[in-house]
Amino acid sequence: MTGERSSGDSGTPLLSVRDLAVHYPITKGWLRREVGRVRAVDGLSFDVDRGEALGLVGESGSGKTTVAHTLCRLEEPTDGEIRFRGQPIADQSTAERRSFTRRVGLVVQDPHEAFNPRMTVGEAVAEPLVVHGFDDQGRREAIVADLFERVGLSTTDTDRFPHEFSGGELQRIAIARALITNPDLIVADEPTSALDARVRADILDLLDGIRREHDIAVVFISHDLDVVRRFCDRVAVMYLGEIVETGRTERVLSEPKHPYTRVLLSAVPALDPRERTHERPLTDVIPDPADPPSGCRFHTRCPAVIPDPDVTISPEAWRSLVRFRFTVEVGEIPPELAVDSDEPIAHDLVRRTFDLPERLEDETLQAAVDGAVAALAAGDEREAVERLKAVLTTPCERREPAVETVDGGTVRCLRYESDIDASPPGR
Amino acid sequence: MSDDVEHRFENIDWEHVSDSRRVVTTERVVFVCGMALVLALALYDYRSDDLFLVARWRPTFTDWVFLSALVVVMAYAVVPLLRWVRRHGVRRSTLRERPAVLAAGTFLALVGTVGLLSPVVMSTPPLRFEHAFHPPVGFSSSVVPTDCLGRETGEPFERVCHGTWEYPLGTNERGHPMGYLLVEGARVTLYIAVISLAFIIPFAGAVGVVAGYRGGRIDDLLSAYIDVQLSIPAIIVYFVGYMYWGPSILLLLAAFGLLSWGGLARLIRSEVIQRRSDGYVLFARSLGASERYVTAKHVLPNSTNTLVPSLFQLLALFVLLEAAVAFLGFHHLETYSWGATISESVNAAVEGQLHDRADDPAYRIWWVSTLPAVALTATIVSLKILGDGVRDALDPRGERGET
Amino acid sequence: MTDSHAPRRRNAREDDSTPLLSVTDLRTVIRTAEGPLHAVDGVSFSVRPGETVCIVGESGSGKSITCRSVTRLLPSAAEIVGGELTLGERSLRALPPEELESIRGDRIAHVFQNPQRSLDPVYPVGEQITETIRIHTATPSEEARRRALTLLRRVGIPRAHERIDDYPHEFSGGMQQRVAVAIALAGEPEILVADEPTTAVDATVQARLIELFRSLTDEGTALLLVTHDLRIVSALADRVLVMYAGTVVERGPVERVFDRPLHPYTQALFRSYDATADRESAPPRRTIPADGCRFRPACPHAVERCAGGDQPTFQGHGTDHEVSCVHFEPDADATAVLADARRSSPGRAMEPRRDGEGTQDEGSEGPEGPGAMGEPE
Repeated sequence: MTGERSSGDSGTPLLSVRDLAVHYPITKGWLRREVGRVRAVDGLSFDVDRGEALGLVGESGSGKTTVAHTLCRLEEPTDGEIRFRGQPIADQSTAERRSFTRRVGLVVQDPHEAFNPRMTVGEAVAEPLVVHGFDDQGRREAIVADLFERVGLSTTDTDRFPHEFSGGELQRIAIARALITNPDLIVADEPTSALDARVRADILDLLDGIRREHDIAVVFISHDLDVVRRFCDRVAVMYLGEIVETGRTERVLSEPKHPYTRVLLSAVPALDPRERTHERPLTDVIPDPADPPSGCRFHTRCPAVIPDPDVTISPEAWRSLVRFRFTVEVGEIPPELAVDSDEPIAHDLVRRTFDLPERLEDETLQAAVDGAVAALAAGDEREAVERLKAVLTTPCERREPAVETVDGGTVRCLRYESDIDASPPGR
Repeated sequence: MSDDVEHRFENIDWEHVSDSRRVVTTERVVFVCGMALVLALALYDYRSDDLFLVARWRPTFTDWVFLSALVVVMAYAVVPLLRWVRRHGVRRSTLRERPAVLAAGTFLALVGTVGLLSPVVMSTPPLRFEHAFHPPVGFSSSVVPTDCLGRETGEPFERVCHGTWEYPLGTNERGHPMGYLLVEGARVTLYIAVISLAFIIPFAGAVGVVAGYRGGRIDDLLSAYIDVQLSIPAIIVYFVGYMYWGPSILLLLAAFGLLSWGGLARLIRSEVIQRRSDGYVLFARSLGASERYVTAKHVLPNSTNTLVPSLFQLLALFVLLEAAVAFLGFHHLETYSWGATISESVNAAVEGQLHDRADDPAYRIWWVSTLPAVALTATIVSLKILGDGVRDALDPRGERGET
Repeated sequence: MTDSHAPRRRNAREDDSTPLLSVTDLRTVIRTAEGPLHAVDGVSFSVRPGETVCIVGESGSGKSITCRSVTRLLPSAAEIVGGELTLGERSLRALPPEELESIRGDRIAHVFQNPQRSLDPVYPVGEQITETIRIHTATPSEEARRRALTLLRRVGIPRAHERIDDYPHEFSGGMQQRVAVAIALAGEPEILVADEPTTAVDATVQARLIELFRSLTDEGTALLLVTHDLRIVSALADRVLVMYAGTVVERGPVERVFDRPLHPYTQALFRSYDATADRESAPPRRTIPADGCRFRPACPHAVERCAGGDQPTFQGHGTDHEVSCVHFEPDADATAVLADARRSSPGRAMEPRRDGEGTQDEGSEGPEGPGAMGEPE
């Protein structure tokens, strides 16, 4: 069982996701033979309780939008199960499906694209009622007008068209539209990304007020940690289709457990123009979701990647070496090392660029590193990679971390597993 | 009336909201009734072969097809249009700003009405070869008919016949008044427009929507088929058909219609693909709305900027095609389309004249070709102008297709 | 490689070196269907050689039009109607188009927000760079290509020699932005004007782009950066200008402004970043006045004096941190506003600190600079 319950809650969670997977086949040729899969979402589990706000945070390629679409049944999962109010949402009868779509509202990403330009915003907000069979037009219009006022607009706005409104106003209308069927859950996909700071805060306050007043749960997708901090009770951090950490928002953002969360937090510049320590990932390239790294998916970029027990060099040396290995493996050769002519590069330059330690106690490592440096200097990247891969091994590339419960949340990192001799990052 | 409570969304009692799908829509009623009527009449005609639809109109197969097409257009184009106009009102100011559109619309309405009413109002005039080639009123012609009803002047062997109010626009080779020929041409044009609107365009639409929505193998298949079909030259198919079945408007529409809907289908497909990921489409789908609903309510209305001008373009193309084919001579002798009439003056055998096509005859009997040519041009231009006008009218932003 | 969080070398010398770019009372008007819009309504600032100046504001503040006025890349409906623009000694306003073209790219270059729109999709990136090089210098094509390669490396494109002939769509968003910077650098400009260059990319990619800009400014290029994100300002700026409704409302060195945001609008901006601050709820629509202090309809401290005439004169009391607000005029009482300044400063915000420092107190309060706004203490 993953995910913790908010205190005092008994009974089934409102939304329960288990091992969700969404894969897109890559096909070739006329007959569409499958030659690969994009693993957009690969084994996701989380719960959302009534009235709770859960944030899904991640960068591009993390799969968070796919999750949002799957929750609304815009896409069908390849694997796993989603339960809403205790019932699976796959294979629903028409009536069940109807009830489901009524209870789940959606706020899409770009407010300027969220509305049919040919319909008035009043018609747009009424659409959920119409689609769900609510025929009383007079009452419909009254409800829409009432809702407009409640989200901070005027009743005369219902006859206007979307292009007459600003982004913030459109997002208010979008919230009204998601609200009108009195849902139990709202899925909000980056609802504030396109908005200015003050408008953003206003919209979040509005959504928060509504959520609390009507006891609506919210799954809030975002890449913006400020927004998540302001709005969400709990947060789940996603990387390459997996959830790497969950927990209460203040805790995750102040004491992140997973190395990726730490990297993400430190990538955002501090609001205060004073400095603080930060952790860089080993490489910058986000791996291709069709070909994710083996074992722990973050291992090619993880500043806390674990050395094998037989490695005896210092942690700093280990980090430089492993950064060297993955950088070359991924192909991100730094610009200083690229040359046009066929002259070999000085070994010194390679060592300096990668900040490699001059001497290592371990002879095998030393030989491998020297060999790799030489190979790289001669332009043979493949050889360099082979040499480094052979000696710089890590359990993180062999073994997929399991979900561990830590401090009221979860984390997927080998450093938290009992049988691995490594302490959590940052200690 | 507990006013306040009713107006709050939380107070909707969803348990008691029944899913009342409207089965009876105005469109369906019109369609069903209209088709039933047409079918009944057609059956009666088939049995008794003794049907005069209105006045002296004896309907042929083409006419039945036209009538069915008319029912389709009434039900699925006119009814929604009237509903749209009633809801949004006709913006008088915009019409005043666009006199061209107004003129075009009026002209086309005139052509349509004239064409529709022609079998009712007019009957085929008898052949009067002795009245051939009368010039229009106010003009004179050196091609003198055997029996010139107007004033005859001039020297012997250089006689000139003047126009007469008996035939205000002149006559053609068979002594048919030009007025009749123009009206007949209008009828042919109307037939072409309505039949293609009713049958060809929805077909193109259906294929485009399915290909765009389903994607995958179905899309590959349909797109490949469209590609193959578009590369078959329609005119060859028409000529082959002509050899077997003789000339017919239906054949023309079948050949060209069947082979040129592909372009429109492709356009519709690309619009569907583009709109599929728009926010409001996603939202509607998340509501569980059916594909048909999403297409009809969201995708197609937002594609009008590209589709409407294309559609009118296609109609104009068909009209022109018919004229071209008729001009080449591949028409039914008794189908007096504008193209046929134009062709006549060029290919006319004029008594007493040297048969030299490049020279005099067409020039001397200019009204036979010019009048229908003017009508044809006006129709094509009006279709295009109206197409642009309708597109602009449908877009509430009043700009050109900003997405 | 420069670390985005390493201490920033201040390249701008605080002495009175001649400003590289000088903008005085700039006024730009946009013709709209509803009448002329005063997008830039009296904006003055300068950028010294090697300095990074950030203009921060929300959409509609006029910050983008300001920087497009500087490079004279305005939309056709917009027109500069007042003020002076000088680059070095030359007036940019008075220049005829041909001379302007030679300056653009050569001394002052523009980086746009959306690289998908600023990069030409039908030309390989290398060619776009070499074209720029050859517009401004008489470089033979071989040499230009070498230089293009160097530039691509300079902006951090991996495997540059393999990718120089790739098309823009073959790069990721972050890489595209780097290419755009490379093109901007091709003419070796003295000043780079960047309009929201880091929006639309992920946080980790943004961090690398910030590093890139840092390294460029470390080498002496001046940077005029327009953004809505206070964090970007914090990371890059030497000096910051806060714009609202076409006017500058506050300006000064970034630490000073962040330590003590004086203008109520700046304060509102900062508070919107603070998850725990209580904020005034703002009704969505307000008309913006055309005179006086433009912010007064939304300002909690608005008084009668705020209306009418030009925007309030800048008050700095001798420092380089200035604010356009009537409450800071010599005969006014700034107590309430200053109290808000303390509340809003990010140093006071509940920023979690992982490295164990305390949250508020100490450094944040800081030594009051000379001529601080005489607050009662």
